[in-house]
Amino acid sequence: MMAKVSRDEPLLEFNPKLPKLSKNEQAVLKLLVEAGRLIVPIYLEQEKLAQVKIDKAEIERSAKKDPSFSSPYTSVERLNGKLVAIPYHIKYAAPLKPVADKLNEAANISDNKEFGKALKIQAKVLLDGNYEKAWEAWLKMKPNSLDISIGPLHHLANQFFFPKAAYHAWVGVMEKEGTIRFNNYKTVTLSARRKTLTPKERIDPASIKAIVLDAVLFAGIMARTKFVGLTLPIDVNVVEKYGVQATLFNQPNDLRLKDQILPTFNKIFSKGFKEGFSKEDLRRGYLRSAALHDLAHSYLYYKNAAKNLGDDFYTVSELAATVLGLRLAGYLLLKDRITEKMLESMIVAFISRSVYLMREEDKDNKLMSNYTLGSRIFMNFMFESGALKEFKDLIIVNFTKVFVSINDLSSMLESLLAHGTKVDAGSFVKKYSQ
Amino acid sequence: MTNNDSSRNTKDVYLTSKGLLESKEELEYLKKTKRAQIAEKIHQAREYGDLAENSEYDTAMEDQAMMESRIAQLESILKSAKVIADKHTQDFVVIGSTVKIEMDDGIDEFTIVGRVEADPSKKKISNESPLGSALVGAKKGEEVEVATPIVRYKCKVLEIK
Repeated sequence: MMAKVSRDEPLLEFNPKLPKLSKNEQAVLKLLVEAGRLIVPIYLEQEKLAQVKIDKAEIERSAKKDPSFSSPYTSVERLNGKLVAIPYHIKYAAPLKPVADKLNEAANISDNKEFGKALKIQAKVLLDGNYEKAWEAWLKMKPNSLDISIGPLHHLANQFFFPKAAYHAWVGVMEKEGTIRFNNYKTVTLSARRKTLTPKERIDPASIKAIVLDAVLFAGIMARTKFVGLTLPIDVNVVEKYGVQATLFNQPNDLRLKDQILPTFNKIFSKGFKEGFSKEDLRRGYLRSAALHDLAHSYLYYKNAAKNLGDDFYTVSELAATVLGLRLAGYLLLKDRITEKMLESMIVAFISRSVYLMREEDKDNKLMSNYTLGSRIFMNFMFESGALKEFKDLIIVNFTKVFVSINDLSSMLESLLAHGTKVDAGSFVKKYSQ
Repeated sequence: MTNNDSSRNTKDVYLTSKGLLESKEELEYLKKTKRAQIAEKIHQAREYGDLAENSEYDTAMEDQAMMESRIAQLESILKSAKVIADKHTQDFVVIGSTVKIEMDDGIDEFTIVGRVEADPSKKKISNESPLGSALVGAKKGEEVEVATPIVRYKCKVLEIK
């Protein structure tokens, strides 16, 4: 249920039916939401700055002399004709101060001491730029009924090498049943010891937290992208030291189902095929595919992949996680943890979303361009293998062939992450994205 | 409650001796302790008045229905349970075997159990699952095909314990 949606303002406030919270938790949640809202003007300012085009080659030249130009946490601007890199926490110190104050206020009243401590660290980090400290506190914290992530989001950094608009906030309340199910999938899918293509290159996260949230607020880049799932952090060094948190969001999944998946599903499949899938099948199917995408990431951390693959890294990495996630869903099926219908629903929901992204490509969704490119690669690969066929504007699905093709595509993408080069990734993307 | 999202028709119920003991203990706990606890909760909730708008009463009634259903399930299981021998052959995979397999670039280890005890997150796989049913009867070193209409893998038995 949406309480407030604004097309222009990067703020989504959901109105989920929440579990019973204590009075203290309600008071803390209110302050966290207030802190999240304060991210909006900072993000809008970043978007405005992003309109000023600066040549990427010029930034790369400057980065050779001063690495802060390529940091995901600096604003690159032209002042008096000269390119300068200003750390976010300095550039936005004034509007960040009230955000930090709100977090400190929430920390001071919270009955949960560990959560309060993590909030205080988060507040401090917003103002001093020592982001690793915030990751450490967040990832070491025991699962809590309330969750918040706030600050610059490293995610998609390559895509936004310039322009950058990175501030975000999400606030949510843990959905217990979903979280138990998500952790159950985690245990089953990650229990097998997978062979690694280049063992020296791959790293295992120090720990993996899996949580499902009822989203209360999305602000900044989260409101623009409306991610259904996110695994953070993405910096492999931090992942190796402190681990990751895979987070799923119920309400953004409902929104994506309503606005993107269902309308596309109704257009691209035949009447008889559509009768096999209810709206609930697709809702759960998409959420399940997002869950397994996020879990699959933990098998795909290769130390130098981002550097080796350059601009195509995010497209390759995100698609690799999606197809490996579907492959892992096959294990769940073989172990009787999910049914055939559930696996089919995941595939159908993902195909519908892929077609939606491809058809909307020219519209105002540049933030999702890596995902659109990934969708194009996936669909072309499936058509080329005969797993999908087109007949009178409708898509015919052969699930057995889809699964075989998913295995093939998954192996090719992981091989790129493990030991591919920019040229390899570029020619792969070019071949399958036309 | 099993961790399985799917439902199956009732066939023979296989239990390890540990599983049999746990089922008996659970049934006794539900009948002797939990029933009284929930009855007390319902009694307290009634005292809050207005049953139409009483969420504590609704929750307690739901808990009671779930508990009675579980009691009936356990009684049915215990009535028809076939107990798996603690000591079993290592020549081939049987219900109760712990197996190490290689499949789809991964090495995995789990125990094959009856569906009542199955819990993939605890490495207990049902003998009726696609993987379990393909492995039962397989010998060490043998490669079997695990197949459903969608998913198909070769699976090699590396070890039987």
